[in-house]
Amino acid sequence: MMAFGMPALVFAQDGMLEGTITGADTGEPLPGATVFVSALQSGTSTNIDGEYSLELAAGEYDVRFTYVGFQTQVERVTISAGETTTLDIAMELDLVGLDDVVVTGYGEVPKRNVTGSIASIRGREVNRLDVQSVDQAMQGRLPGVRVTNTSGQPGGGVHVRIRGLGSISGGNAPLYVVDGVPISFTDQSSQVSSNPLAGINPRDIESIEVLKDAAAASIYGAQASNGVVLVTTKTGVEGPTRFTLSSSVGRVGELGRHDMIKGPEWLELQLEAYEWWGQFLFNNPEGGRQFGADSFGFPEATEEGFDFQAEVPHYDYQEELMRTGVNRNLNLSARGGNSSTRFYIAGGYTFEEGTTIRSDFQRLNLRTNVEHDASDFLTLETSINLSTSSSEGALSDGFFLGSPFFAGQFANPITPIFNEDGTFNQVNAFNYNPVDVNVLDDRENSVNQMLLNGGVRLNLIDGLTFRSFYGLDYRNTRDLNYQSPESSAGPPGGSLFQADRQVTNFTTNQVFNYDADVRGSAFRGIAGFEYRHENRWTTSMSGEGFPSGLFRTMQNAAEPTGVTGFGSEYKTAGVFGQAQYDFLDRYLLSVTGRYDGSSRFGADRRWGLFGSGAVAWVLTEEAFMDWSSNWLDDLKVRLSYGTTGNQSGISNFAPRTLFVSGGTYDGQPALRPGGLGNNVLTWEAAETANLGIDWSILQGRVYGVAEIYRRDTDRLLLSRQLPSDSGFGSLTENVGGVRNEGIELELGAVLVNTNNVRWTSDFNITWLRNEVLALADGEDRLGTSIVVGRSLSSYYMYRYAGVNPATGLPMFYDRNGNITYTPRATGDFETDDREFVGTSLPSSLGGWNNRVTVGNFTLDALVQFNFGQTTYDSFQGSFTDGAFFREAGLLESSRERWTEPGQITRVERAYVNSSYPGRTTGFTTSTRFLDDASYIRLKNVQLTYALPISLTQRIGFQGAAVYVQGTNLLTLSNYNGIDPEILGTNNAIYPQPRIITTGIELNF
Amino acid sequence: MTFRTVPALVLAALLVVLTGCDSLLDTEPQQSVSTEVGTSSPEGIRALYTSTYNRLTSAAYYGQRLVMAGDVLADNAVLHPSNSGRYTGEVVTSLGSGIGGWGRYTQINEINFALKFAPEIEDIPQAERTRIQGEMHFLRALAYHDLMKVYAYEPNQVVDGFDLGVIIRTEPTETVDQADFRTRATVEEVYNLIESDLLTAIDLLSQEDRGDRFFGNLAAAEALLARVYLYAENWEGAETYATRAMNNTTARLAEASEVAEMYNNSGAPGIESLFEVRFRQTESPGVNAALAALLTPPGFFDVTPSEEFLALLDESDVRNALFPLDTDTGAYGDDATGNFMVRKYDQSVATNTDNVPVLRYAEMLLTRAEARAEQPGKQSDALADLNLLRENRGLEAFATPPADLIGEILEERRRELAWEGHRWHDMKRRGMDVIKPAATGVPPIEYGRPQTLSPLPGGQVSLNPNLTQNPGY
Repeated sequence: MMAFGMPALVFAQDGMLEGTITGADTGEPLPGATVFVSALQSGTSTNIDGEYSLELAAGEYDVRFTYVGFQTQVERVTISAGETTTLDIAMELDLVGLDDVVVTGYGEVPKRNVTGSIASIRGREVNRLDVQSVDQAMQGRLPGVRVTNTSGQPGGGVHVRIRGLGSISGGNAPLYVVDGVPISFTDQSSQVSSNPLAGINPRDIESIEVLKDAAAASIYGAQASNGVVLVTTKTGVEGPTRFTLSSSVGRVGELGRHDMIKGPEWLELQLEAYEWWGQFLFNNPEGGRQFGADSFGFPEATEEGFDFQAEVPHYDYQEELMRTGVNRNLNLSARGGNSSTRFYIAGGYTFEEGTTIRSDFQRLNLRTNVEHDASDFLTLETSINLSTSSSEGALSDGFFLGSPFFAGQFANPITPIFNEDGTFNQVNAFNYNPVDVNVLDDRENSVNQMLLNGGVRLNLIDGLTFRSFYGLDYRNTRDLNYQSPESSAGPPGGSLFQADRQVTNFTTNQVFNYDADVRGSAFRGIAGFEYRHENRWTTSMSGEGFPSGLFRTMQNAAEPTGVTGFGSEYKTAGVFGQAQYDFLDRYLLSVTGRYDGSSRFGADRRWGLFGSGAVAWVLTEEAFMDWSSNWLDDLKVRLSYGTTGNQSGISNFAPRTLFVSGGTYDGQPALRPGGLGNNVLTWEAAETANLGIDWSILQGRVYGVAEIYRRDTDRLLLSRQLPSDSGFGSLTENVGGVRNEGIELELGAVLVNTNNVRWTSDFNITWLRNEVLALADGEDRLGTSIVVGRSLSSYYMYRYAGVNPATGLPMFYDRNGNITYTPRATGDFETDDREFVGTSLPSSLGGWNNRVTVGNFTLDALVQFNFGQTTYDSFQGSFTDGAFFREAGLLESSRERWTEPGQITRVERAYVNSSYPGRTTGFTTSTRFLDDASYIRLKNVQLTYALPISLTQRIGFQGAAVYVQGTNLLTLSNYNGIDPEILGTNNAIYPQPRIITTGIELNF
Repeated sequence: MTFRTVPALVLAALLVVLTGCDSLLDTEPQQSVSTEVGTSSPEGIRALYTSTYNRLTSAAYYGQRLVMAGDVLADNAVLHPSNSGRYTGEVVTSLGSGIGGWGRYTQINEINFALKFAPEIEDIPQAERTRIQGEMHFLRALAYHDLMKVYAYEPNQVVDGFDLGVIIRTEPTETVDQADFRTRATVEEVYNLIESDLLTAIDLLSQEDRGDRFFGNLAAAEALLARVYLYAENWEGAETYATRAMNNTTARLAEASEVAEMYNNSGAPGIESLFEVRFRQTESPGVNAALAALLTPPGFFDVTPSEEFLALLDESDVRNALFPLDTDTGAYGDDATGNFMVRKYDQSVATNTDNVPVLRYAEMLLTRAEARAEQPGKQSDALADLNLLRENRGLEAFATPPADLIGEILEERRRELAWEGHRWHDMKRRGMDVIKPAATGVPPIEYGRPQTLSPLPGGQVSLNPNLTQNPGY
């Protein structure tokens, strides 16, 4: 813009610089590319034909050429007075650029010299997604990384597992480090599914790096064994200030809904159930039927010719509880800088409604990232992200009468939702109206989050820098749960619960980085110290007795019922170092070590040493590979081995023998022994070996990565049972082991690259498996289904044999394959009728991402998949297995119930409660409800139209685009429930939404 | 100072910090203290003392189960038609549905901590130390006796020679090694421990007691000893200590006019309570555990008095007021007008919150009556005790001793102590078969059948090779 504003006068001592900028691959001009002369802090942009011209005083300049998607180029030019210098630039595509810098722990390494296993995403690939947090954006894009949205609550929790499950009780979530600050996940909302990463606007992300093997992660020591996710936000770039304004609106719809049987038919089925009940208990089917009809309030329903359709109403609870929501986003950023100061300032607003009533998320954030070079050797840097977010949550999810995802179907459909006067009908079968509680009661979470860091970087001598870094992750979470006196939940006068939680997580590190060129070989070294202190604090209070739903603050509570407070802290510290030597860029050798300690560990095992070593061999640098040099760009084999730790499962004071709070008696507070201490309690230890191959051919047209890994974790935290007459139930010890191994493939290609059409495609797939290696001494089993030699996520249950065509009773197989009605769970493998029937860990997962550009149109499509995972559909089970009697809603599968001898079906006959004659258990967990939850999902599609540069430049914009985006558009799966993207058992979870948004983006 | 000297300074600072590595990671818990502090400070011991009482309020003990299960397993209860699934096994006395309560050892361990450390704390006045020890001995005796009632036969009622009591622990578990695998002591050994604990408690509490019937006190210890002697069929001892307990307490027998509201107390213990477990408003067990929720609308209302029990209450019996008809919630079936309910725990402190009497004056009176009736020549004294209670319950006194005086006394106990956790144990200690209410459709449970004793937790039996399971499980 600056260039356009300059007067077009040419003075005698000035010269002209002009030229055309084209893409090197196609030769097509690049309109809107930036030309910047940093010495003068001025520049221009190319026009529709890719041409630029710049008037400069005579002299020598470094001119920088930048264009999104292409590698930045800097050229030195000499301008002579009165002359015109022509400089045409052919810009190279910025593909996997081997010279690109990859962010690593406490440093950066050019991609060609990476020795560990690191997967990364560029921010611009995910900036526009309809997600609230950065972890969601990783789904399907990174090999070895499993991302599952565990709740459809906007801004809710996301389950991320890197290379399987390495711990049984110790936590499997990776360490997230945002701009150098490790993020705390403790003390989240107890009311609404939440996510500390939702305070960061995905628009601000520059890159995400996932450190997967020990070579990459061991520099994070005792926190690294579940992998490390490094999130880097955008920083300023030297050049004219560029503004980006984007705005979108969308529609948030349901993925699907369970079809329920409507009132008239429902009553018929319930009466059939009562008929069988009367038959069984009293040998009086008519009496049973009449009893049912009476209790449903339709005594005449047993009469001949009763017209169910006309007489019996239907009330659709799901319809009242679910909705189509909207989402809105507005973001404005400014990015620029001069030779000494660079900044990125961005503000964003996002709002998204969930698919159930009174469920939403809203965030307002401001980010300021500034760097300033105070002198040649001193750089100051700071990054501040302030965010305030709030969310309303569904009253609950799971099998609760207030849960829209259960009660909406479970409610008896012939009971009115509303009275005639429009008030809520309070008498449902369970004296609980799920609509009324969701409308009248509040469940809220609001978070104020401050993520900031600041530091000083000193360039000491050539190649040696020192960085003194300080970071703060502060989060204040306020919870509110209000039960209105008018609603059917809670005590008669209503109740209010409020909690105020604060987490202050301080980090500092002091790091030396050394880069040197030793006779053509690069040497890189890192040495540093890190300290982290996390302090948390919660107070909560509750009260009862509100005059009416108009009064919702604690002041109005007639009766305070409780006040409590809690605080805790932990500290970690470590010294670390890393050295890498790239001999002739051909043989790469790296060694990493960290001596790490944590206050969570027992006094006798407080400090531990973690480390790794890696070697890589760049074959393409070898003379004997010359024959392939015209097509093979890069071929690198790397091998690493190392150790990392996991401390996330140890509570802050777990190893100590403590007197802990023990309730009250007669109003006096009590203290009691909280458990026996274990002064050798320590981290879970993982050993990881990784073999990888990176390759690229035809100038980056086709490239890929293949990796194979094994991670053995031992010293797992497990509890040893103690005889309870000792006064204590168990002691946590470091015993047991788990192995995770897998193969990861990544393949990318520029499939089509013509003048007008360009299609790039990235595919990744991971095969993985998991095996319990050892449990506590002498034990081969923990609980029911954790068994040595099997996957950690195994399902162990009865095998369903269908319904006996003669009697309509459900049948199971016993251990010998014979039919039984009463399978036995003895707890002993020799006699138990249960079998291992599947695992909830997928056997393979991955994604396929495509970008097709045709003229001004760009289509992005991400397909994500998961194979070989089973899920127990507890939801279906709770309806279908003996469900008629609960006088609750019925799924359509009830139509397939057994009704007459000889009928072949999987659904038993109708009855009025779950324990009917001939069966010992009603709700029997069996393979009947075990579903294959493999799926292929069209996760995200974006169609973007970039307005022609000639048009945008005329109205003063660098660029403008409009787009349409769809999320979760299409899913292929045999799964019976709504959403196969599920973790383990379906406990009536909040399903994800299908989102369609349209947006615009302006650059000026 | 130039910028170039900064890193050297930082490095030096780092070295200083790192040499103090261990203190660098020091943290202190905020709502807990180290065991050393807990066991060596007056505050710690007093808070531990409070914890031993807090344990009694658990739903597994006096918060619910010890109060409910005895009546439901025996012959006083049937299910309410809208039962929520609670107590469905107990009502038919199914195998394995016993009262349980093995977790009580957690309380015993805390008592043992207090007994070990309280005497050593000089900052606690001697008189208070004496009192704390007295109360702890009382609570330990109560805990062991509650365990014995559930898991073992009484000393004179052993069936098939199965004379195992429970595990004895009288020292605190301070290290993992001390959490060893122990065997069950004999019934006699455990009864000896209980007796000795109570005699010690009586000795100490006679020197100092807080005069608060929400806590252990002299009369309560004497009353418990009377109860223990009754179970052990030491009739003389039972009589003696019942008399002492009644003499030494400020509790008294409720008059007929007071009975209907005698359980409706919150600030002070019930008029008859020698020892009562207190629940303040902030200490409510909550709707899922409260006795009020189990026994009355608008809670779950899971259990109602059996017809057989209600039939034992004469029209003139003032205790009818404690078992009223609930006509509000509606009934199942066409002709029913409602269901009877138990009103002994009717949210008298707050919503779902009631105090629970553990030792009561009427129990002592009936204990003495039974103990006297068992002793030759004391029939008229026994009758006098029984008549005193009957007269205060709106019933006629017996002019002449009934043919089955002991039977009458036991029936009076059933009426008087219903829903206070006594019935099952009274039948068990007398070796009686349990005739279940007709509505349950369950045949009589003969004395000595596996149901008579609760099963030990299966997990404990498989964990501890030295632990013998009760017969039939």
